[in-house]
Amino acid sequence: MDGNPQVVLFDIGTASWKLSEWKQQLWDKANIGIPHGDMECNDSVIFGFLTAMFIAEFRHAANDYSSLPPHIVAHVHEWLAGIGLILLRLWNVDVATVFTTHATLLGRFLCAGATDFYNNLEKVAHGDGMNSAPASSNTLSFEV
Amino acid sequence: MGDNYCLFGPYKEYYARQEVELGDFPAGSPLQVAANRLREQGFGVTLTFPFTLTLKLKKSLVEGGMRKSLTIGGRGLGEMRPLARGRESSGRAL
Repeated sequence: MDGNPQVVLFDIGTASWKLSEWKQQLWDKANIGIPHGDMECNDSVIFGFLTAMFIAEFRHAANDYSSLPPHIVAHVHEWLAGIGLILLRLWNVDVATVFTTHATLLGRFLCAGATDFYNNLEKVAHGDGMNSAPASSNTLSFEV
Repeated sequence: MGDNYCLFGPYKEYYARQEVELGDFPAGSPLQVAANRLREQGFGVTLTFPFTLTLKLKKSLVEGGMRKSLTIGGRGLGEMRPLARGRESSGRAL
């Protein structure tokens, strides 16, 4: 990548006092429940809210920065960061969103089966492989 | 493209100390404005420039004869990968 990418890091601990309120908002607006006391999920909620708030503020500031309308893409990787994408949609923030998940169980399963996965993506129907990989039902719902 | 590319991640003090240079963006830049708005609400937001520090580190470590032990990545450093260690170790690459 040419140029100098910038990095923004969010201190999860400084927003832990907001956790309950944000979990409630996630439940009220998206019907997503977060298990009580699950540290990994709690952190992902906080991280998601901070990133979505940052992007919303950035979108707002970018409007005033240039006479041209800003074109912004938020590319989110994996479920741990996915809350931010959901919030951007719930809050109707005017940015494009992309979600990429990596090395899922279904993907591994299909690749291992010599299906020429990437040249046959459009032929993979939701449900393919489900019967043979029952333990992965949580992960599979993200695919297709 | 790279100048308009921004990576987000969780702040981990240990890795941030080692791998990035902390500092604010130019006043008035939308990234800086957004960071200030979150800070006003009490949230910790750290703005960094990973590659400038990498180049400084490379220089100091090479001068110190430690090139082979350098594990911190950055653009133009040959065998090294940008930011890979911190992001993988945190377990929460974004």
